Amino acid sequence: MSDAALVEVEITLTGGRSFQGALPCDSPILASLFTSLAASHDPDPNAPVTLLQFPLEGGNAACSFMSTSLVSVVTRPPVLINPQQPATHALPVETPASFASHVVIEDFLTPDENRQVLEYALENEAHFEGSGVLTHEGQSKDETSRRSRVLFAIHGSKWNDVFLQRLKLHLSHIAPALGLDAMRLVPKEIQLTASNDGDFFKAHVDSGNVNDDVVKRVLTFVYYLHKTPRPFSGGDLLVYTGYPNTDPSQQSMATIAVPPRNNTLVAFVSNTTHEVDVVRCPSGEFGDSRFTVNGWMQYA
Amino acid sequence: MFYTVFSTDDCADMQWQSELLEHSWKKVGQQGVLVRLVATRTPDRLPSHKDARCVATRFLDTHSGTGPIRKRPASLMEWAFRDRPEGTVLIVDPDCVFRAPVTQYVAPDFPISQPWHGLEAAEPGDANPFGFGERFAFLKDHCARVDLQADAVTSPTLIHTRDLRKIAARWLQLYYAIMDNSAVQDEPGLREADRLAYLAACAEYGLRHSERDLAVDADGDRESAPDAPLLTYCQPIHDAEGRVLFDKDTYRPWTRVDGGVEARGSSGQDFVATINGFIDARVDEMPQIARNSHPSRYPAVKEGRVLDQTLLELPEKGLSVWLNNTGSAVWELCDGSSTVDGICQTLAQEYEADDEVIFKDVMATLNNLNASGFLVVR
Repeated sequence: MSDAALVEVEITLTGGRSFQGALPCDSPILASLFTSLAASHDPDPNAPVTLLQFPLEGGNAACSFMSTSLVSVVTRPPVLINPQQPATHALPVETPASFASHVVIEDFLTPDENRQVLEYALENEAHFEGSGVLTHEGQSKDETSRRSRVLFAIHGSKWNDVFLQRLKLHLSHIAPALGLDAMRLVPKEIQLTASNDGDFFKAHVDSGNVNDDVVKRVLTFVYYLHKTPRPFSGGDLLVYTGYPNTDPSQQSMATIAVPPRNNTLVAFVSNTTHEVDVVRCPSGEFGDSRFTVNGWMQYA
Repeated sequence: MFYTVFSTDDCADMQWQSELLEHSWKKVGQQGVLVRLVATRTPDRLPSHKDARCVATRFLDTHSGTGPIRKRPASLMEWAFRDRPEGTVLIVDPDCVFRAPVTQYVAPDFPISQPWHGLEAAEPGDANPFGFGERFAFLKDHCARVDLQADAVTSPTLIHTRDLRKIAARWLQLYYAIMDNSAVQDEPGLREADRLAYLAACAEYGLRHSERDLAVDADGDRESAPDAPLLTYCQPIHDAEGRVLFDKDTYRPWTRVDGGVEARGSSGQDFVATINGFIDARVDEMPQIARNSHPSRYPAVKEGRVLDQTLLELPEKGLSVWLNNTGSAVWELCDGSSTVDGICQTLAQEYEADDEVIFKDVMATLNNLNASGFLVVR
């Protein structure tokens, strides 16, 4: 799966039918579209007519058409085409397979482990700090995009190993379900997050092209833990099921709500658009927060 | 849904056990599906079965041990999460047969298992994790708590798929922890790692088993557990004189067990009747080779000789067969130039035996080899 920035693509075929989707800017499909378009203006009678496929609905469907049927390609933002590169033939067609948007694992830890992680979170309340978002300029405390508190120290605790070792055992089924290669996945980062009254995280992708480190994220996991009965409402993880898109303001994209259930882990591909719905915690007590152990894996 | 599940790899030795279990499963009319988990590096070349559903799982290069049981937690976990079965799972060892159908379904949180009479029942604690004994003290480094009492149960087990998914990763993780620890590198410790890890995982998740005799030892008497629906033949079966009548480790696959001598126990007699019924049914179902046909050896067959016996292996089907002296002679003559009658004549001259006896032996050998794919007949 490409980590390159996504561009919105609209193609128009003979007869006037148009289709919209999103593709990584380095996608061979995008190159094929431009190559076919260029070839149609200077037809080579010896060149083969190629079958092209354009992914729709996040890869769950595809529009197939002959290269000669392509009338125009609109991209947002504009994509630079190298005029020095002759369009001799279409690049290989890439057909996206259909994979799950996310995987849910209930009872991820044993009940005693689950209780002890919550105790660890409560004991370390003083070490939680305000969360931020990563931009090209570095870490930013942008409270219009995200509000929560984070404990980075879990990375050096025994819980780091507990989570990653348990997760590693699950990769044999998580990775194929998400279209990832289990054998190449290695741990990257882990953190403990507390979300209390009014906290949220607006739609985003975890592998945004903001720095070399973040762009390497391939698999995201979120483990929920909280007191029982649950002392807050809201806080659902909203997983966007449309094709990964860097424009999270697209409200037309369908989402699946994954409620925060104690001792449940959710895993998804890091370039999946997702958000955290607003948490409502009437007590405002730290111990009543929606806690998550969240982290990432990357390819070795 | 009811799933009867057993775990194997794709080595040839597992095929006769798997087919025997399949035969008995079918014969007693067991409800549901029979699932053979096959840990393999070649998932596109699974063993073939008439009724069992073969499911490929990853072949683990590390922690794989030497036997299919040792791959069981990994295979079960992969199957449970990837295929998402829903219902009751009867987990059995490959070396067992059905003598009656299992009719009991289980609900989540209510597994049922065979009592393990030999397991210690000492007070659990740091020095005695889960009641397993002092040599498992290292488990306290791997567990949030070890003062939990494990149930004294063993395979076979009836468990709901949701419970299986709940404990699967922990079962596998503790299994690795036990396998990796030098304190239990002796054979009994390794053999029990799978069961102990399962029990510890269940204890951690608060899963308590009801005990029920699901299986009886085939070297014993059926009266010791008259309602047990399964027979296990992991131990040798003896005759009335104490001689070994059947031992799975030395059994020559696809052959009858000597019917002239009775097993000392009624369960052993049941088992011998089952395996001989399996072999007879297999022979009956075989296509018969015509006497004027020309059998030749299938090129992919691998051969090996030990004294006067020949071992044939067909890796693509996961099959192997041992041939005795006569069988080896038949095999050598299958070069495509001789007809079946010609082979019989050659052997009759060589062994100076009755033509009818020779013909029966040759036909039995050829039909068996042909049915398994070791021969090409034209």
